[in-house]
Amino acid sequence: MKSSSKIIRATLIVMAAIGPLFYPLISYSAMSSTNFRIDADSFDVGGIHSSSSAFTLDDSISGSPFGTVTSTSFELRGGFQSMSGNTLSLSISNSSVALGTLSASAVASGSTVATVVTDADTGYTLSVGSVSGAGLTGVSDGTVTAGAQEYGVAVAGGDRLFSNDRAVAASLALAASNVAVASSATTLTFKAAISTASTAATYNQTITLTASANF
Amino acid sequence: MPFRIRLVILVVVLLGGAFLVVPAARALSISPVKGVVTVEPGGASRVAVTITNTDPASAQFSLFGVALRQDSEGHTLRGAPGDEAAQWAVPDTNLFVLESGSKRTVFFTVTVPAGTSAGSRLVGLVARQQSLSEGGTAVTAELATVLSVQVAGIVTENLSFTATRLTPGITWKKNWQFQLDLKNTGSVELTLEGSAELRSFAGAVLAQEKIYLGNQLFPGVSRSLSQSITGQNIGYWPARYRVVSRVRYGKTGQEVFSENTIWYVPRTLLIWLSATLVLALSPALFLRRKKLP
Repeated sequence: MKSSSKIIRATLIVMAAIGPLFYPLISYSAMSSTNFRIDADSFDVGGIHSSSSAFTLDDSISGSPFGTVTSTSFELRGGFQSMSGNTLSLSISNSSVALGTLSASAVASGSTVATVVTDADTGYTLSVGSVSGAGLTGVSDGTVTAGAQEYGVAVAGGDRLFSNDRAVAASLALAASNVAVASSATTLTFKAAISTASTAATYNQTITLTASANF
Repeated sequence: MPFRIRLVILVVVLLGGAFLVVPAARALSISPVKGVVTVEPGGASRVAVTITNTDPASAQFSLFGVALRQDSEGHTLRGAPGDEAAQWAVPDTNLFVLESGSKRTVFFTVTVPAGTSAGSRLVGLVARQQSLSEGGTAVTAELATVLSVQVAGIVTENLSFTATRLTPGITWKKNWQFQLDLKNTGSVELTLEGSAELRSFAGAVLAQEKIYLGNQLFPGVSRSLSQSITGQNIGYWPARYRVVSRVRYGKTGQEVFSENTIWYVPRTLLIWLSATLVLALSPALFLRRKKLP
């Protein structure tokens, strides 16, 4: 009887000693204070760098429990997560570009400046995310010319990706950098021209500029 | 103060005010800008994104998830609406208003359908500043947090050269251009480290240069790169040289290489040969001219 109480006491001591070590595995959550916030936390229990002449492997033992675990009072989505804490900013100088009344004798144009700032070491891409609304025929010969019904965009700036006039279409890459940029300004000049045979109408477009980090 | 002076001041103030009017602008920022999440097929992961309104005025933001893709230049672009991962990311809230200078953190749930094959997909967590203008050409700004969603399972890392070219095939210049066309034929993104070796035809390494191959390469994406290598430590005689391009890739550190050859004929040799030819022929020409009546 005396020996069994010793065993129970020893067991309790061992559990009290090592129990807290496992506590983080079951308390996975976002952490924050007045000075910081960790939204994508994860607790690992191991990991090692292995190598041979043919391979290197950086492994980790983590994500326990991996996948989705649910009960009546909680849901845990386990897995690996690695997020870059960098920031990406985009500003557009003018969100409305009016091209005025078009004529067959001149190319109408209007500009806006998109400025990107990012500390992401892989840089950024500025592109046309989506286009909606009625536009004129997209330019296909590289230049919007007076007297021909054409509509396009030209870009200027240190990070521009082309130097001619291009049709405005979704996924058109406009500017990019492979390194972080303190402030990269790209001027977008929208150009339109009509021919004498063009149909009189009001044309409107909504163009969404998308900036995203390169991977 | 006389009435006329007061009127002039008023006009100046009104005109000045008109020039100070700032056109409607759009400005926002997002963090984090990129990340990796590993999700089992049929599972989900939660990702927090913080959006800041850096516009001078309050603005409305809409949030949504999209599929992204990488082009051959390494740029991250919007994928097609029908892409496999287009519906994977859903925000907790999809519309809100932020005062100027304020920020808000929103969680996205990235759900991978059961039965999805293992490997990486690019997903964008998008914050769009709503356009308030009506008529004309409206330009709207949006930012995307780029996620590599790694679907758990057995994956492969594989890279192949689809083409390599060294131009021209024969030259007297010491700066040689070569083209590398790579394709990720595996199922996960790959980091790339490149080098080019200049070797004599017998195999001795004469020079070695690191070559920049860009950011990570996603599955199914090709990349075409133009590089140059300077002929260093090469001799004064015509010879055939080899340029060996090596690319070490991925976490497994595998390597692919390709080899191209080039004939180098030194310019000095051409000049020497021409001079020798002229010198050799000049006595004959001199004698021939002397024999002429």
